[in-house]
Amino acid sequence: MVGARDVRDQIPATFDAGRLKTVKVDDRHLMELNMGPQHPSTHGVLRLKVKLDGEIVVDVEPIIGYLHRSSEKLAENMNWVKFIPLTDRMDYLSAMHNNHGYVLAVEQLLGGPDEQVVSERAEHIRVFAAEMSRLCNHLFWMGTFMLDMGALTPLFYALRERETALGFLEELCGARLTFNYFRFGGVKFDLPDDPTYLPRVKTFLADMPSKVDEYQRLLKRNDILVGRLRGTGPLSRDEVLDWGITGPMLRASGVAHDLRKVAPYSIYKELDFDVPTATESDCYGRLVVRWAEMVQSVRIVQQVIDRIEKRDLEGLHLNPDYAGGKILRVKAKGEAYSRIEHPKGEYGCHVIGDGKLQPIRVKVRAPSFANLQVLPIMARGQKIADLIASLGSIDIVLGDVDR
Amino acid sequence: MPEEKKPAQDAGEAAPRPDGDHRALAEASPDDVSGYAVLEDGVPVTEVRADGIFSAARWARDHGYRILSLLSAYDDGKTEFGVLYAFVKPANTPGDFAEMRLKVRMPRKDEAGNDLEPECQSIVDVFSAADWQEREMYDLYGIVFHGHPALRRIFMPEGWSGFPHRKDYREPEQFIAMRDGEDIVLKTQEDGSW
Amino acid sequence: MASLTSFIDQILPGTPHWLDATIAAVLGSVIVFTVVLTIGGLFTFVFRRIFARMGNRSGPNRVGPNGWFQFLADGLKLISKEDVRPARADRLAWGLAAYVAVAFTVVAWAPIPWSEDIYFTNIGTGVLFILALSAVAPLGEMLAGWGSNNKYSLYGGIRAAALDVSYEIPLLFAVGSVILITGSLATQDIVTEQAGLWFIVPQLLGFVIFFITGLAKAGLVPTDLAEAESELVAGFTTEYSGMRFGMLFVVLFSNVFFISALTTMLYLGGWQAPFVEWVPFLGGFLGPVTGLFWFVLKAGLVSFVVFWVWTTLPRVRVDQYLNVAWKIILPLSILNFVGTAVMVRTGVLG
Repeated sequence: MVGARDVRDQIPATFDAGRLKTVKVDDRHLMELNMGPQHPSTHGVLRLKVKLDGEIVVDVEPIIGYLHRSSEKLAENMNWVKFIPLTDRMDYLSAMHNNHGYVLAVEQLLGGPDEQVVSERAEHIRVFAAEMSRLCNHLFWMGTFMLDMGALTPLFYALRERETALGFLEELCGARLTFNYFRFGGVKFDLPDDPTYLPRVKTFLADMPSKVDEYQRLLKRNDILVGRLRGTGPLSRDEVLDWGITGPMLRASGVAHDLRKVAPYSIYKELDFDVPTATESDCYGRLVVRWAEMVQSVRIVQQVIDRIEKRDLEGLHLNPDYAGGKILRVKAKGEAYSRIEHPKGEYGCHVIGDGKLQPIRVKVRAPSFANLQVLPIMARGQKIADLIASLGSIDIVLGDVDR
Repeated sequence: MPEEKKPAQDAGEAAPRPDGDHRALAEASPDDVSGYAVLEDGVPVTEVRADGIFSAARWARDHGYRILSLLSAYDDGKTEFGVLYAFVKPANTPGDFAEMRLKVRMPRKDEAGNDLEPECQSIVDVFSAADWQEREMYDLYGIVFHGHPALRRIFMPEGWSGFPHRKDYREPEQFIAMRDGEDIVLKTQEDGSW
Repeated sequence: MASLTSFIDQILPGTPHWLDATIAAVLGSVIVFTVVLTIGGLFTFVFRRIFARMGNRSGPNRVGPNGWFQFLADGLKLISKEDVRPARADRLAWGLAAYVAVAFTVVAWAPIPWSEDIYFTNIGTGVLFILALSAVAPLGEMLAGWGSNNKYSLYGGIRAAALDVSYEIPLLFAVGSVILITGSLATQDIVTEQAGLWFIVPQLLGFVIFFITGLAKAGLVPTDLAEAESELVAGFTTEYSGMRFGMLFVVLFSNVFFISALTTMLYLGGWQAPFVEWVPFLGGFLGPVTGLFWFVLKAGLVSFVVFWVWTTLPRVRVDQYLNVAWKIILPLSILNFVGTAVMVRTGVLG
């Protein structure tokens, strides 16, 4: 086997307790601090082994696996459709997208004769739910990011909006966090019968841009915040691409790579929205990009509601003939990978089936997992406070990282 | 199970031929490439030998596919392990999307019928993003990526034996966790409880 | 204190003077302690209410009338908790830290005049006494940081030390400017000297500097770096639980009122009523407690501003704030001091 280094010998055979003490690196005595799995701002059970020279971070090693539930292995014992609720629980803050990615991949396998289509109405409802979920995700991210910075109030303002949005999603599918909404061939429920539902959503959306404006007024000209975020956690464009970063972090470095535009799925091709970018990928750029994305999500949902109300959309929310009418017992065969633009980056499911009820393999390409790798690059040479800021700006959810 | 799929319209014709960048790769390094297929979602994938994936990945990166989109291993339970790679070109304009997929297939048994451990080259030196992805595949499937600077487990605790996502994986009877010099031994009982 | 001694002398005739003085001293200390801790406790509730209202929530509103007894419930809870000492903590440092922090903070309250006749003591060096004792209080934070045997606490303690030392000097210059005008260190004199014009007018720069440095020394946001929750878990208070933590926590909040009281005393006229020349009614409408009313009102308003800042602003980074202290605030405070000196010498002021 040709290889630069034979790593077999380096694989540790025994468990190393890894005592935390000062380590000597290049004549400097560095302190090793453990920001352990339980910590107010690691966004979940993430462990960071930080080597500090005073207040400066010399190295940081993220250690994950505390929330590993081996969902992918569980899939091999479950039906294709039973896995959908499991995808919810990966990135539990924007669960609609997890559903969407998985369902798209399996639909590729089930694709075939012309009845296997997702109807126009279902596609519109899918985008509606997905973009509302994106809004919820970005709101929550902003709130917790500000909390990490020490600003206590933006969290409550963000949650105030998020509560309303989650209320709408609850009316739609009965759940606030883990929706279990998408199915092969459509979505589980149609829009609520309540005739005031869409008007209420429209009122909420009409207010949203002014609320985002409110956040920006509160925070954008705040010298303390800008001073802490500008230049913090910087990544050059080459680093971003090399490390496989996708999502708002990629767009903050100037590359307008948004899968909804460059590789459109669902009905995104017909919708009119912009892809916000920033010139420099630092914490401030990522914040600005996500703010702008909130506004764009609002725009998308408004268009979708418009189309639902005004046009006569064909089809039902769930095609009853899909997969021969046996949606809950689909048997998929083949191999596929399909990707969507998740709020945190590129999300996709690589599915392999051989015609049975259980999948052979479901692999979830988790954006938080891929993006978290770059933390040491971002944080080296900066202070502890900047490490927290950088970590927050990646936008990770440990359920997604560990699956 | 990966197989060469014949699109419904072409039933009865020959297997699909590579074109575009896949053909260029096959022509540039014919020793590495071992096959071509089109997956169910219509995307072509070039099959590459386990000791040719590094140069194939470098070829892909040099031709603009700079983002590592997917590195996914699988165990089909019967004959082989495999790793599917997907590389993507960063695009600025709508509809400008380009993707290249490569696959490495590692058989479980060689011709003589002996068991083989899955091994593959690491592409970390080409795509830094492969760092954790390969560690994950090592941790869960036991695929050793030669050339990876620090191939350790990432999800399972250090010291875990066995590779959980393999089809023939059996949970260990004992999990011994060392802590501060004192052993904590958890043992699986007969009925499966700790 | 003199009046308290004579009061005790009156009610206990026949006891020697030293006994009266001792009893008076003990009684006085108890009263100071009670006042400070009650205010601190009340402020924990007040802050939580204000913070909640500013965040579109309600805040504690169950315990007692509209929630006002929340701090009593919290205190009861903390008292009933186990006092957990880390096994490898430095017993003396860790144990002493809470007491040091509390003791010096409480005693520093003594010279503050609450009204014309209501004060604990009016020693001739009142301001110096206050400044000296509040300069010792950070010692408690550093003891806690070191003694806890915990890297987070250590970081908190180090930051506390750095911050307090850096902001001590501008604070002294700002207060010094006021003393230049009054010519006296006694706190009651400083207040009475502001009868016609509160010092905020000639000392606007000094006021701003004092407010900022006071916030920094008290460890309040935007400079609560010693206890930055999202970075350092709980900073130097990490290893404290039960009433030890309760004391540190209450003292943090009583410091808010302390800073506000000092600001009021030095720049906002203390217990003096405003516009008393044009509206003499304001000077005595509550009889002998009018001064107390005005003092509490002013200090309360400043406290509100402090809470407002706490709720709104994010946290500054250590090095940025130290930069500001040494490169901006210190030169400005020196400028203020020299300018005041010139103005006093040439007779423009005081």
